[in-house]
Amino acid sequence: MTLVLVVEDNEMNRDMLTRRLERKGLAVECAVSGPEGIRMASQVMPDIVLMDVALGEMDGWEATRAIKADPKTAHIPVIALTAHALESDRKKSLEAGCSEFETKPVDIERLITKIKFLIN
Amino acid sequence: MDIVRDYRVGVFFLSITAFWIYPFLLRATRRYRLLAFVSIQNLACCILWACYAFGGLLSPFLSWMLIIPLLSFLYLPSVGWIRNALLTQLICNLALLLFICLGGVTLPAVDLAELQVIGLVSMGAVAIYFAMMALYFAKMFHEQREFGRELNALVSSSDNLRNLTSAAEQAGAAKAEFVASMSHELRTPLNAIIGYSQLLLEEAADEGDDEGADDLGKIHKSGSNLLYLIDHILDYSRIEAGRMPINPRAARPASEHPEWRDACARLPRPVELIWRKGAGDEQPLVTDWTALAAIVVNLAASLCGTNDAGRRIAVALHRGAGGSFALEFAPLGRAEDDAAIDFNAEIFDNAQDVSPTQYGTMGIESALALKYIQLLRGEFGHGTNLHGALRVAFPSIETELPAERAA
Repeated sequence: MTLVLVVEDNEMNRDMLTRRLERKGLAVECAVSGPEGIRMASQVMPDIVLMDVALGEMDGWEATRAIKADPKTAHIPVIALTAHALESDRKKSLEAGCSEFETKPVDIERLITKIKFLIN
Repeated sequence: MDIVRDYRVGVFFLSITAFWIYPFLLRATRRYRLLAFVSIQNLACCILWACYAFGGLLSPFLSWMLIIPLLSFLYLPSVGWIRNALLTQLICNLALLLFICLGGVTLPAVDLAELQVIGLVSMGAVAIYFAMMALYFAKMFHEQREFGRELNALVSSSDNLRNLTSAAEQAGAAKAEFVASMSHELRTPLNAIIGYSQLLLEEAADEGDDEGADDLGKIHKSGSNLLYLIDHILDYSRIEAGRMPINPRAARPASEHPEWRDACARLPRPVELIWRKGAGDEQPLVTDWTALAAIVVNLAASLCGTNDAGRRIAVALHRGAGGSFALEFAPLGRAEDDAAIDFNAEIFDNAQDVSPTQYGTMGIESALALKYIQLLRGEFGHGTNLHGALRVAFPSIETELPAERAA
């Protein structure tokens, strides 16, 4: 079963995304901050990380850079979740090492397609 | 004294005649300051010679020495080293005259009685010259004072303008800040409404609860429409506040248009976007693709109007010279297509700003499309490739993308 690590500080968004992904047959682990996301990526070794970029003290781009900088987790694809489809956000996400970029509220079908594409 | 044949008069007139040379020298050398110093010395030499030759310290021409400082400070600024140099030059000339007259040098013989008339004329001329110079300087000082007053008024106006601009900028920044914070505050609960309603909708559908699914579908649709509207208003405000940067990147039109098609299909009133293939679709094009996507989607929605039927639009991209390009939009399958284009072209051709509230809820798509088009410096015209199409031409975007990314 595909394991997805969701890094999201908003409880409702986290719960909603987890339930929707689980309904689609994916296993989900959650982290509520950038540092916890980095630690969990190393511990649970997910197949893919869904990273919210607005995370408070350490933002999602910084956390992604840390995940990509660790040789153990560098291969894990990261999809950035942003509130707005600005080109600057997209650019920052790609520069930080994200493989894909998705805006919230997520279109679950599109997100699943991207997850499948990146894992395979 | 035979004044005509006297060599002293000849030397005097020769030194006076020398002044005719200076305009030509100035034109040839452009050394104004140097020539001003030389001409002042030339004048001093004329007067010194006249004094030496016609009576020494008793010469009727001695009074002309007074005009040297007046003329000097007329042609050169009375500040700094120039002032010091001119004063030194004057003192040296006076010292030379005193040395000649008092130092035992034999002066040419002259009958001062014969110079009475010319002395009187000379004194009169000096007096007139002085009066004219005094008037001239008085006028100059007056004008300088007026100029200073006007300058102060201008500086004061400029300060006021700067203060007003600063206040406007602060207000703009505060507005942009408000918009940015409102974006987060509005979107977060809306995301929850949309996401949970979608989740419950999926669960209701799985359980076969059609009535519940129908109601949840309405909640989901309303939430999505509200988010769509809020996003548009926020984008509009962001562009208006100058907070929407242009982020050029290189991409192939062929790889981007499927996203436009999907975005048009997700509109509150979906539009079927039909891509017309062009010659340059596979070649990379540098532009802000997110802004371009917003233009395509909003223009497509706008051109299709508010009718729910026949919402199809053909879009084509044509490459121009040096990175410029144009998009053409032609609504399909409706009798009022041309009317829709004319209506929108009229809106977009209007130089006045388009308020998001001016055309109602759906009108914001026209307003936002126009804002994005202005952001990318696009211009409207009539389509040349698609029949009856609206054309928007975009200039090339200067970019500093690394070569490998652009490729």
